[in-house]
Amino acid sequence: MSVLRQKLSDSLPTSNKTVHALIMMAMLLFLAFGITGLGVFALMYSLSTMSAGNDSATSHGISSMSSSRLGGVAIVMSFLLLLIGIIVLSPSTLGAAVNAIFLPAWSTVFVCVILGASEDFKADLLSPFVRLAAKLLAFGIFFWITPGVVPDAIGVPLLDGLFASPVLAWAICTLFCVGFINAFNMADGANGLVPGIATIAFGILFLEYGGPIEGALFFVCLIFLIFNVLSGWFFLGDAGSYGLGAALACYGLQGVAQGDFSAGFMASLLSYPCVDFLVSIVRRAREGDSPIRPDNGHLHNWLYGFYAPIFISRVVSNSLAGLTISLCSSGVCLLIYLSGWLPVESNTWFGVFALQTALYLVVRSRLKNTKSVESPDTGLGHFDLT
Amino acid sequence: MKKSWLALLVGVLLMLWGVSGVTSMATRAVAAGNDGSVANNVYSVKRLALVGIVGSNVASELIQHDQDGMVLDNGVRTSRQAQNQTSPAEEAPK
Repeated sequence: MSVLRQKLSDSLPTSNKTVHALIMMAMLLFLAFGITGLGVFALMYSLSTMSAGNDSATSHGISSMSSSRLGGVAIVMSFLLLLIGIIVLSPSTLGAAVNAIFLPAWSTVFVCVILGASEDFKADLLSPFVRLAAKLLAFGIFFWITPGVVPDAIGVPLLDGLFASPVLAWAICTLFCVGFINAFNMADGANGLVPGIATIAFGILFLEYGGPIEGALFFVCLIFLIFNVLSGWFFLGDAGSYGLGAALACYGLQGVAQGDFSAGFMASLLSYPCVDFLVSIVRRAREGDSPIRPDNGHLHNWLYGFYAPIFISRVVSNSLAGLTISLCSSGVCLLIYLSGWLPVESNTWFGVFALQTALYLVVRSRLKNTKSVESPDTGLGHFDLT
Repeated sequence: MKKSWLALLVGVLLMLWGVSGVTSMATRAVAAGNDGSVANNVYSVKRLALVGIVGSNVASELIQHDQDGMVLDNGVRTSRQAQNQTSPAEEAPK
């Protein structure tokens, strides 16, 4: 079966398939985003063809082609270009730029992007301990100098007692953010998964705040999502998962602290990375494995194993696994938000989060039990605790 | 390698062209007194060519939010229109 699938997949010359995919993506992006979208596409394409950050075909269990890990770098470059363009070409200034939190928050995100980019350009350039320490330091300083971002309460009685102490609240927020970034990095194991979650999250933030920063992030993440899902050779990398994770953590905590969102809403919006991270840690601890060892026991790996025998193309199975999870987790939150069933300040969102967690556990258990046709050893997941 | 740099340059120029179009759109909206003529003109051909269907909606949302004053300023949502208006106490005759 797998030999036949490989033969069918390889029946077209790779160059032809690549050209077809590029033309299709360019047409789709022009329709959705016009000339500006084509500009972002050209930038992403140019970075994907550069030798820096290139992964060879043999290093991926699922991908039969060479790929690039510079998706995060492309997102950062596109985002900065859009922002610089808005600042330079517009007679007005960004409203957010006068916010006291703006500079410390984005400096922290930038530190995380640099840490991730160092890993993308040269693996193990910085030791895991150095990266972990740098992230703890960056977020520790951020929360120390901007205490307004630290929530006084999050709507959970037991935790609210801890948040009453400023020092404990600072420590919890620092640990939470570093853990969340690693959870985001861990979840980045299938096409369209983390980019999909980030696109939905920034879309909601844009609808809530309506600022150019959120608009640019939504715009760029959506274009990357299309590129990532359709091409299958351009990945977010550590720079992207660290950077997007840090930005969402900052937005989430600031939103909760200001009362714009409930903590339950943010938990529901970003449920998959959080739940998958916690479940993976518990699973490895129970199996006696190291919690930092990469493995293929994530839900997206199991889902890929479910789709793989059905579809000829590995890219289709990979992308479907990622999109299914992002739509069934953050997508549900988006649907409820758009329909206006629950206000974003409501603590009822904790109930939605509980349902999402239950769904995760049920689907995971079902997929594990029905594992038969293909091993989920896809090489998709790359767990990196730091 | 040269192709990559050429694509990068083309990409940057196209992006700046698009951003320039959106900022001039916002400027025209302010000049027109935010009467909705720019923000509601989502599906004009020129605009669609510049930012596409999704981008055009995002641009309209940006213009409308700016018009309503939904700008994060010092962490508090303030109304630009409200800031520009003179308070009743200042308007009262002395």
